[in-house]
Parts: sequence; C-alpha cells; structure tokens
Amino acid sequence: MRAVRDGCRSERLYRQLLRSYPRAFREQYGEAMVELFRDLSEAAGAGGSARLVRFWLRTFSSVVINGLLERGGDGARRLVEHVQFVVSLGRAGRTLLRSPGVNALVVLTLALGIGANVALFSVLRGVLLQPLPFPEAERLVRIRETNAAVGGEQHGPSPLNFADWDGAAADFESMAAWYLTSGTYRGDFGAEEIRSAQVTADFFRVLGVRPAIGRDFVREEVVRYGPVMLSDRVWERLFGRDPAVIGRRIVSSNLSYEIVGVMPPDFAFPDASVETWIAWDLRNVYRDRPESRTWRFLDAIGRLAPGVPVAGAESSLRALTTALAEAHPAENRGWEVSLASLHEEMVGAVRSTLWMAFAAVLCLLLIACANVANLLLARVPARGRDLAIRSALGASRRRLSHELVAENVVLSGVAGLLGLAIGVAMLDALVAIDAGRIPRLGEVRVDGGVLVFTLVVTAFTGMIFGLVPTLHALDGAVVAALRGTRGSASAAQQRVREVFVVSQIAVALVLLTAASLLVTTLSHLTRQDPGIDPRNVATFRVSLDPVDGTSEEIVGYYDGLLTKLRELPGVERAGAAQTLPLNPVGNDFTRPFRHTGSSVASADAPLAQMRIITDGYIEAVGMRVIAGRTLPATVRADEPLVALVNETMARRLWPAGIAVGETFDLDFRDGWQPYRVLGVVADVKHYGPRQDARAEAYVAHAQVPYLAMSFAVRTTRAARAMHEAMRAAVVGHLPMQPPHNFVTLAALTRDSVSEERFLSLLLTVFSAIALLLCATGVYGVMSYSVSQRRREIGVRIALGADPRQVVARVLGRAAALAGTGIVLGIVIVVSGGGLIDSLLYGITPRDPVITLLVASMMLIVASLAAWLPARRAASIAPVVALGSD
Amino acid sequence: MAGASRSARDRIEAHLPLKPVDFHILLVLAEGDLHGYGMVKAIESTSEGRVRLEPGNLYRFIRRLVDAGLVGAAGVRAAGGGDGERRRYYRITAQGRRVLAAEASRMRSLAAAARALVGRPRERG
Repeated sequence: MRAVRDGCRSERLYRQLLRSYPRAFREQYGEAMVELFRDLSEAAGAGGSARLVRFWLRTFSSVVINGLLERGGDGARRLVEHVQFVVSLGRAGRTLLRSPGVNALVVLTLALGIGANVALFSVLRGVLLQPLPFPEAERLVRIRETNAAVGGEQHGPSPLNFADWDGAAADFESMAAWYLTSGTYRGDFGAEEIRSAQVTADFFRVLGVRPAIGRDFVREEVVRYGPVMLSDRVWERLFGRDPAVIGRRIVSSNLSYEIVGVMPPDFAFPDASVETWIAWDLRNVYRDRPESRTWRFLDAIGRLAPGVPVAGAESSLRALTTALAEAHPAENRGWEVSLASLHEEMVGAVRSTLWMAFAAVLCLLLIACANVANLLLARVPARGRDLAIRSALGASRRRLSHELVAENVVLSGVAGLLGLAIGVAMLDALVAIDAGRIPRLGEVRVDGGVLVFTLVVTAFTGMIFGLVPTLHALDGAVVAALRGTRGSASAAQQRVREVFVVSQIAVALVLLTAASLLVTTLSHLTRQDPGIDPRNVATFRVSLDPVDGTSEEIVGYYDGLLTKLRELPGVERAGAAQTLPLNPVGNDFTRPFRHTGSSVASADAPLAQMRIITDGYIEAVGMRVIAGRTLPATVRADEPLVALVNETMARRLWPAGIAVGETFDLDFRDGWQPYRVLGVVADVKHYGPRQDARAEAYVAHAQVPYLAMSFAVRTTRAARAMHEAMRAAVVGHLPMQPPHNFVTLAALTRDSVSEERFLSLLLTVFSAIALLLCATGVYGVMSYSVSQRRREIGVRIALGADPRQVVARVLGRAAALAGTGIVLGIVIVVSGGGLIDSLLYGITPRDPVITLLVASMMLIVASLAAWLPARRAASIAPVVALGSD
Repeated sequence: MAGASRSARDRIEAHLPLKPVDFHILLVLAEGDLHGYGMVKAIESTSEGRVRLEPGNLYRFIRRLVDAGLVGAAGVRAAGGGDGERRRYYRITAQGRRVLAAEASRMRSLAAAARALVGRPRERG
C-alpha cells in the first residue's frame, strides 16, 4: 500500500517535470511518457535505493534538459549546448592525456608565450597606460623654462620667476616647485643622511595626496624653511612608527623642524629615494638675491583648473612670462615657459623600450602559435581517420567539431593558467632586477585588466593554433580517410604547414634583427670613450653640516678628510667634486660664461656646467689632461681664480687658438669674475654615452668652496671592499657627519646603459627561443613532407637517383621555404624599421650587414633543421617504399 | 517512371546516414510493435548497452520519427505483462522499413571499406 502511495507521489512530481516540455508535445506524448516512467521506476526500485537515487537524478536532468530543448527556444537550446560543451571539456581533457608528451609540449610552448605577454602587458599597462596614482592626474603638468638662444634645452624655473607665477596664473588651480637635496638629521637615533625634497607649501595639494597621519603644510606657517613631512620609511626607521612623533622637532643642518605629518607608504614623488619633504618659502629665501632670477634649478608642477587644456594654460602662462621679461629684461630676456603632461614627462623616456619589448613578446607568441598549429596538424591524418569512421557511423559534424574545439579550449585554457603563473613570476623578476630603471615599476600590479588581457590572449591563441587543424581534421582529412587515400587533402595540409613555417621564419627574422641591432647598439655605447676610467673607483658623498661654516672651515674639513683617505691602505688617488659623472645624486648646475672683456649680459651668455673639484679629482676618476696641467694642490683662496675647461668649452671660447693661459669670465659668486685656464681636459660623458658632451668649467674647491661634495677614490683592490674602511675614515674625521650614497663608478657606468642592456638581453633570449621554435617548425614540416613522399622518393631511388640528389632536393625545398620567410621578414624590417630607430645608437635599422648576417643565420638554421629529414629521405629503401602503399 | 523511382530513392537517401539512436529504434520496431519501456529494453540489448535512452529523450526521438513519417502510433492496448495495464504502442511505417534497409546496406559497404583499410599490412614502423 505504501509503495503505491510513493508511486503516486513520484508520478505527480514527474508530471510536474513534464511541464518543461511544450504543451503540444505533452498532449501527444505525455501519457506515453508517464507509462514509460512507471515501468522504468518499477525496474529501478527493484534494484535497491542507490539505483533509485541514480534513476531519479538521471530522470530529473534528462526530462528538464530535453523539455527545454523541445521547447526549441534558441536561448534554451544554446544554454543546453553550453552545458554539454562544458561536459565535453572533461572528455577532451581525458583524450588529451592519452598523448601527454605532445600536449605537454603544446601547453608549455603556449604558456611561455602567454606568460611573457602577461608580464610585459602588466608593465606596459601599469607604466604607460594607467594614469599616475594621483586624483585627476591628467590635470597635472610639468612646468619648465626654455630659451632658444641657449640651445632650446629645458630648464627648471628660477625661484623668483616661479614665485611670481604662483598665484598669478589664472588657468592653474595650484602650483608647486621642489629641489632635491639631502641633509644630515641628528637625534636619539644618531646621525643619518637623508634624501629630502625642499618643497613649496602647496606641493601635496597639487598632487592631491593627504598625509596618512598628521596634517598638510599651511601656506602661512612657512617662513624660509620648515615644517617637515616624513615618509613612511623614515617614520618606521627613525621613530618606530610612534604616532606621538607629530608635533615633535628634528634637527638638520642646524635648523629645527616641526614634524607635521607622515605620508602614506606608497607615496613616492618626485621619486622613491626622497624620505622627507621640507616646506620652503621661495620668496622669503630669495627676496634679497635678485640675481637668483637666473638660477633655473627648480623642478615645478602645476594642477590645471578643471577643463583647461594644456595648450591653453601654456599660452596664458606665456603672457605672464612676457610681462616678467619686460620687468626683468637682464634675467629673463628670451626665456619662454613650456608645459608638458606630468605622466608623459615621467614615462616618455621608456615608452619605446616598453613597446619594443611588448612587440617582441607578441612576435614570440605568434611563432609559438604557428609551431603548435603545426604540431596539431601533424596529428590530423590519424585523427581524421578516427573522425571519418565516427562520422560515417552517424556522429554529426557539429558534434565532432565540438569535440575538437573542446580539446583546443582545454589546451589553451591550461596554457593560459600556466601562462598567468609564468607571467606573474616574470613580472616579479622584472621588478627585482628593476628592468632598466623603468619608472613606476613598483606600481605595476596584476589586476582585473591583466586577467582580461590574459583571457583575450588565450582565446586568440586558441583560435590561431586551433582553427586551421580543426577545419582540416573535419574536412579534408575526413574525405581522404573515407577514400582510404592520402591524396589532395594532405597536399593542402602540407601547404598550410609551409605557410606557417614561412611566417614563423619571417617573424623570427624580425626579432633576430631587432636583437642584433640592440646588441650592436649596446656595444657601441659601451665602447664610447666615457672620458673617465671607471675601474676600481669607489664613490660616496658627504653633505657637510652646519651650513653656516666659514670658507676656511669647509676647505679645512675636506682637505683633512682627503689626507686621511689617501693614507688608507689600497688607496691610490682621492679627490672630490660637487657632482660626479653618471651619478644623479649631487648638485649639478650651470653658470653663464663669456670671453674676458665681453660685456654680454648673464641672460644672453652661454652656460657652462659647473664642476667644483679638489686636487686629485682629475686623477682619481681617470680623466685625461689634453693640454696644460691639472689643478695643483697648492691653489690658495687668495690667489687669482684658476680653472680647467673641457674640449667642448675650449672650442666654444677659442675655436682656433690655444686655451691654456687665456682667461674667461664666469658669473659665479660675486658676479662676473675672470678665471685663468690652467689646462684642457678630454670631454666626459657626464650624462651617459648617448648624450653629447656639454661645456664644462672645472674650478678649484679651495677658491670657491662648496658644502656637499662627492668623493672619488681610486683603489688598488676591489672598490666595493673599501667602503667600510672609507666610512670609518669619514666618521673618524668628524663624528656625527656620516657619508652616504656609496656606489662604485663601474656600477654607475653599467647602469648608464641598463635600459639598452635590459632590452638587448630580453630580445636575445626571445630571438633564441624563436630560432629554436623555427628549427623545430622546419624540422617538423620537412620530416612530414618526406614521410608523405616516401613512395615518390623510393621510386626515384629505384630508378637510380643519386642519394645526394635526394638530400639536395629536400634541402632545396627547406631553403626555398626559409628564403620566402627571409624575404618576407626583410620586407617587414625595411618597412617598419623606423619604429626602433630611437632606441639605436651608431647603427641604422636597415643596416645591410646585420640584415645579411641575420638572413644567413636563418638559412643555416633552416638547413640544419632539414638535414635529418633529408638524410632519412636518402636512406629510403626502394622496395620498402613501394610496398608501403 | 524512372523519374518517379529516382525521387522515391531521393526521399529515402535524404534520411541517411541515420543517427545511431534512430537506427536502433527503427531496428527494434521492425521486429514488431512496441511501447516505450519495450523499446528501451530492446535497444539496450540490440546495441549491447551502447545506446541508452532516458525517460526524457525517447519520446523526442519518437516525435521526430513520427514527423518524418518513419514511425506511427499503433493504438493503446493491454500490455503482455499480465498486470492488465494499458500502453501506447508504436510501429514502423513502410517508408521506415525502406530507410532502414538503405541504411543497413550503406553500413555494409562502409564496413567493407573499413575492413579493406584496416586489414592491410601495417604501413608505418
């Protein structure tokens, strides 16, 4: 009785399920279906409860799915097909596991390609495409002064000019200027040299960033210097993250500053080396020094008013500078203002490098896809016969294509996941080696955008490598297998495979050419005469404090320290300058110069880079004296001023004559003063090997003392090993006066080409992989072709063909493929070469020697790859070949 | 006359190749009229378990075959089971028999082709 009631209940449930079918269908077949259900459930019930549960599960899903399918709603049908497709993915996975070797190779090849793309795309997006990490960053601009008369170079604004703009420029919401410096901070923690930025009061407001704790600067409180804002790192290192630090004072350069706030940990402007920001009132500091209007040493940014375009703000600021030029003609004549997007200013220099690297990884992915497509195509004949039999047995073409597509989806899906992992690891590696000092690299994250990119690349990859083999498996191979022959379809396939190989070779040639050009560029750059000898030179900086020391005190301190350094074992030479070649830390500045006797005004005079040096400096960095002599140790403050000039400056002043013994005027300390030239030194590539040398005036520290100096110490042992001894010597000379920024001159030289080194390393690795992939591609296509033509070759040999002739024919075919690819590649190089031009040095993108070398290399690789299949062809036994088909 | 027989053959060919399920349904109905459960059991045994019908899809296949004119309803009668319950029966039509025969001969020639192919000495390695 109970069984009957249960039966009724389940029948009612079943009738409910049947409602998923259309009414017309139910009316015609509903009763028959209930009868079937009754019979089936009776049979299932007899098999125990486990079987009953399975029966119900099956019934439920089958009735609902078929009901929806019968309803024929397109949406429903598609939904069901999606579900079936997902189910078929599992089956595809199992199919693929049956040939693990090939599929692992496929997945790995693709994953490498996808991974490299993910890493480079993350960098490209984080650095170039994403806005700076400030609110409404598109309104931020860099402000500079330019003067066509002094070479059109960009200069920072001078303090008084900036102070005049600030507040008067209508199109700006706010403006700020800063100057990078460093100071010795003293307190309970001892003495530490800390890199700081002196910033005008609105600095953080322009950027739109608030302190994490404490408050921002207030304009009214800033009188000359201070208060100070701390970075998160300094707060941690010196104060152990004590919140009570707000309101306390710290001492630097005999000035005491109130700490008003701590910036958030990720705030790094103008760069990550800056650890404190000291508020600075330009007008107060420079009010009594009208000549400072020509000291264009600041960096400045502005936030445009909402809706104002950069060009509009520039023209309104120009109106202001014209007025300033009229008010201060001696200082401002000829000077214009120029604005540029802050983002572009920060990353513009690496734009081409990043795009280049991204293009390279895209090429690599294309080559990988072509290789995988060829691997899969090789499977088509075997696969095709299987498919043909199943299709003959009634499996629909739709179903078979579903299965093949499912296999590709699984392959590319696994490759995509693995690629994402590889990409994240590569990104970490890039960040770790600081990939050519790319700005904003620390901001790069793998986020939703990168995931979307990975998805798109994976889908795209799956399409490229999967589509052609799938179509072939379904069409040509089915027909061919049914006929039991391997005729026309195989020929078509062979053509497709050859097209892949040709495109592979073309892309690899482009990659290899780019790599060769960059390697050549790097070697040209490193073989440039830097004007110095960077081997075994240790450098560090001392920022002497207090600031109000007398000239005698400053000179005395440095003379004494140099004497102590020269006494250290292993030290050959020691000297100091206020700025070192290739080293961004230092006070690099220019002063106007003219012939003695000329009356040209400061604003119109050409500029010389100032090098204030102690005796021993020229020898310590390994500069060459071309004429005259170096500065002697005996120069005294009360003697007439002396100087060395570099070749460029000597040519500027005395194009045909002898410089040594002449005098020139320099507008430095107390206005125009005559300097007598003691010697001429070879040009130094102060700003890196790509930059042309500028006019440099070397003046004696003993006569024009400077407070903060960078030391260069030439040693007889490894320079790095000397750092500790030097630190001890500095602190021993004057306790609480720490040295900082230890770095060897060799490391600075290396870093000066780090971008080129990074890119050429990247491209060399990529083009090596590309060559390898090409070789396997050629090998694959040639062995396939040989195995297809066994019979023909066998007949040829049976008819007395020389095996050497057979080898030659196979090699000839490979060479023809390679040749086509090479020509195609050269066409790409010639038409697109301009894109890489800006990265090169001393070579053009269409360099015939490089092109010839790369082309012959491709040809050799292709021939080597075809050699084995060719040997195999020559050894085909005529009888075996004839009997095989 | 020749044209008429050609078009009759075309009408048969249009159904080929049969889906495995359709083939099996026609095959079991060719032996005699059956109700739903009878078809399920018979197909399970003729296909050696390879074709499995579910409560949800059997009548969709039947509907398709009925619409194509290969199968027709054969009335409601008492089943042979002895429980006295009545079932809806289905039978194969004359056209259904012709299509079934054509499919069988197509598969015979296919099998011959496959045998020739598989039966050859191994070609590779």
